[in-house]
Amino acid sequence: MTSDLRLAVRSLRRRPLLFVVAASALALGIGASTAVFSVVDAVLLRPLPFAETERLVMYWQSIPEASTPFVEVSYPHFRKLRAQSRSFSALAAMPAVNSGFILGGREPVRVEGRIVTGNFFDVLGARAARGRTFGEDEDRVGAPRVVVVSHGLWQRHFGGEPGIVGRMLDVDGTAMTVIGVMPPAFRYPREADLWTPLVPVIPEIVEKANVGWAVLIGRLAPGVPIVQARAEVDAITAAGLREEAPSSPQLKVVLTPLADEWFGPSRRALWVLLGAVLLVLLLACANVSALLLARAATRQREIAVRVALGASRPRLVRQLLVEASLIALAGGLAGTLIATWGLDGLLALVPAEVPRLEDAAIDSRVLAFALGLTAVTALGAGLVPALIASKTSLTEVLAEGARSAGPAARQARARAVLVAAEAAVALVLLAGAGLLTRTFQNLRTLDLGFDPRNVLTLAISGSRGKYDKVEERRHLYRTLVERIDALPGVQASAAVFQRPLWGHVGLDWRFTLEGQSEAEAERNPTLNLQIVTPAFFETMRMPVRRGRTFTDRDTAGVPPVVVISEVLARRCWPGQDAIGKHLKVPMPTAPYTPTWMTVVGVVAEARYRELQTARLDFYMSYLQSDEGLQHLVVRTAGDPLALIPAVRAAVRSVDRELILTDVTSMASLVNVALGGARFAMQLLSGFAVVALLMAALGIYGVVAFVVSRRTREVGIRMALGARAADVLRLVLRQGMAPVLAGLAVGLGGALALGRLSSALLFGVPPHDPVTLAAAAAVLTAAALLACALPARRAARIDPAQALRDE
Amino acid sequence: MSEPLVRLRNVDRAYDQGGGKVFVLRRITLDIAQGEFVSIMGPSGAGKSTLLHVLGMHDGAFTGEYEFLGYKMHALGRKERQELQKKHIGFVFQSYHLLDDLTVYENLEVPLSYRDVKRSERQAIVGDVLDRFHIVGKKDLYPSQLSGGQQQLVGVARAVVASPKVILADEPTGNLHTDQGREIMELFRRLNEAGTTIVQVTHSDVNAGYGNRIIKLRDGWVVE
Repeated sequence: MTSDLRLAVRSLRRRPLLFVVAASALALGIGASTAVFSVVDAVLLRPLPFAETERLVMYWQSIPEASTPFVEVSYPHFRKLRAQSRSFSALAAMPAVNSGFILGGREPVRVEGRIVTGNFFDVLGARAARGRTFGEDEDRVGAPRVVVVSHGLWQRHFGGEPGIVGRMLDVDGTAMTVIGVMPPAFRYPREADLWTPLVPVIPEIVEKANVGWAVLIGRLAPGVPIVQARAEVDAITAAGLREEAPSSPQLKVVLTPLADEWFGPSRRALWVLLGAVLLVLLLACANVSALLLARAATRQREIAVRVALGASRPRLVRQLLVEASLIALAGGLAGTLIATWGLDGLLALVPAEVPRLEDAAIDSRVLAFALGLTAVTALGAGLVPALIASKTSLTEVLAEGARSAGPAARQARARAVLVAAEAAVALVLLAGAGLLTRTFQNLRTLDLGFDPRNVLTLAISGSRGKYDKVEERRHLYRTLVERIDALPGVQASAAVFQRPLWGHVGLDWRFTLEGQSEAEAERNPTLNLQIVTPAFFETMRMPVRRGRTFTDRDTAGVPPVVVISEVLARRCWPGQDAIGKHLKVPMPTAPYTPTWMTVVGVVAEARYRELQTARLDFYMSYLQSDEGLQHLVVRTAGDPLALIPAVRAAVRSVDRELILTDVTSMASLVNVALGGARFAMQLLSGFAVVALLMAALGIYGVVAFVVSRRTREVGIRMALGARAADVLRLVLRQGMAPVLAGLAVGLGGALALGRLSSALLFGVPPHDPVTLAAAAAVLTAAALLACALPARRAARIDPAQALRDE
Repeated sequence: MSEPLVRLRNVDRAYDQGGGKVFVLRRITLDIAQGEFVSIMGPSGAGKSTLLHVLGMHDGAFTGEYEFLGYKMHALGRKERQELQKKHIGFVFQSYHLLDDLTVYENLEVPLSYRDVKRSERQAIVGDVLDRFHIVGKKDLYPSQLSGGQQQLVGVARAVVASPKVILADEPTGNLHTDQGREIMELFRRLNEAGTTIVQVTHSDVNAGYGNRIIKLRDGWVVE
């Protein structure tokens, strides 16, 4: 083995170009794969911070008939499921989104947290790193108020104070005892820094059967499959509906593994990208294989002599594999360096909503992956050339007048297969990149229904208790808007319940049209209810299609009016003017009195909650709703971020204790919303470009090699009368034949990739013929160019010279 | 009389060509005793090299019977043949076929490493052979730094390094000028006198004169 190693080093030192080219190709492939794997490992492969995660499920409901994918569960329904279900060993509940809590003190701060049922931590199987978590006895009316904080909050806000457990905190004006600190890995739900039992915070929720507020977390009983649990809760839900609301549309139970919910769409995207980068590595291996095959062709004599001297085939394969391993090892080392340097760049591309991104690092697991990849690469790139080269025959190579073209034929076949594989892989990546590029373009050029440029947005929160009265809140919003409007550089400002692109969860509101029965109304889709100050539409530059927007005269004393989106208008009153029409809608706050409201305005359809879909937007005036507003939007003449200090000062001049969070520009929020699509597009496009270059280089290398080996044949053909054009055609035809075969195979792969990544696409079908054709055209052009250069060289061969040389 | 080293009976060797068969060796029947120095002669295409490769066990696609030291080669598998070849046969080529990337020392070491001889033993054997062939001073040179005669000297040294019973030489002086050729043939004579059986393919009557028997081939047949 030592002598094999020594000989391999010497052999490679004598051919530095082969070594550098091959190792560089592998370094690129291994480096990119390792970097992507480090993200996949941190995000997807590390165990979740729960016990027996595979038994954890999430539960909510949907109403397919009403196109409503997400319906929250009421506390009584949660209680009924807990009592009747045998599929779960435990069931906990929490709201679908975090709540904002104000931690009092000299400088009050707003933190995200979740109110949860007392068994939340037990269901998840999560233990506190310090102190303890709370239990069910602390989730009842009158229980002492307790709170568990995250490791992050403990470090950030309390400086890692050792005596944190037992300390009293002012949370939303209520004294609560910190009873535990969770371990660093426990970050669930995302961005929650604080957990407190539910019932002491909102005791009234326990009896409200008509208020859906929760998603449930279930731990399946040992041995119970998710399908069985789904069937059981389906039956319980259906029986409950039959008793309580027989006319209601069918609620569909959505029971999904907690892990799916945790990872969200990032899982599919990351697997697709890891698959893509491994395809790039496969291409690199194919290129190195082709190089080693070419080298083997020039070593036939040496190998035959070794056979004559007694070398067995395994021994020859071992020696050739040692050479390939050295190349792979150099590639692996360089690749690890590339991954280390490139990881930060990669992380900058990954959208922030991907969980656990901060844990991505080149650590021992990732290094082990890189090492494994290097070993696989050495085998992948080296084995085929080694097997082919070692199958040489002494009589064929050394004997006078060899009669068989065995080794040469085998190598030619292997080269054709490699070229075809490279073309196939490159086509798959090009087509994938094409689909994602079109997706990104479609999203980027989407008409949002509002103008995000030059808009500043911020969230406002004040301590509970201070603005409990509706009139106080209305006064606050009015004053804030007036102060901000008075700032130089501000064109308009408004307050709104939730700003555009805040997230998927909001007020999903029911409505009834004139003449609709209650049963029919139950099947209506839900509205995206927003409450706004009058200048909201002007501030967001949301085009008014019909009628008017709100004025200060639309107050509590007059019949309620609403502004709706044109898509809602079309759906409710197709072909009619919506102005003056009525809808019955529950008021946004308890007791949710159903109220008839008159449409006074129709505005453009907006991508309000997410880019991909336009919801049925329904706007109420803040003067006719008691619900609090959470965000301010400010249209500025210039850079909105430059106005942050002035806006902050204006808000503080109204109330020094108001807390501003989420201060950013609307344009950057659009950018963030595009992040997932941009990330997938950029990365896959990068891989596709590398793949195209590698494939072109690989094809060039193979064709150039074949031409160099056929100089004599070309010389003879030309001596027999072949013209330069004939030779050019001959080389191009033979070079392009495996490419075209590869294109056919790659087409199948591209269709499969399209199907796999269909969840990542927008506005383009997974099997888009234009994209596929464009990818095939680009690859064909690159392959033609790669063949044309050696073909031209072949066409210029001087027959006399070629035959003399031979 | 003792058992011959090599015993061929009705050996044929044919290649497939254009749907038919082209015979290169026809019904070869011959014996070679241990310690003989045999020269195979004949015009180009007579089948000399093919016969040498059949004798050298590189080519197993023959029909007929071939016994070597009593082993029935026609009945053995490739691996067993290769083992016998490793143990008993050394090869010398017309074009020397030294391994370009290896020094003289390493070229001599290669056959021993393929026979799993321990490193310390290899050093001793190679040192001894370098000494016997008077090429100690050349041990660190690469083939490209040697003359043709020197390269063939190393080729012969490499053939004997694993102490084979037989050396098969395919026109060993074909690429050498007369003086160098003579030296190589003298070397073969000495090896033969020391007990090694030699079978050479040659066109040269002079070289054939070093041996004690000539086998003449024509169109695959033994004619004399």
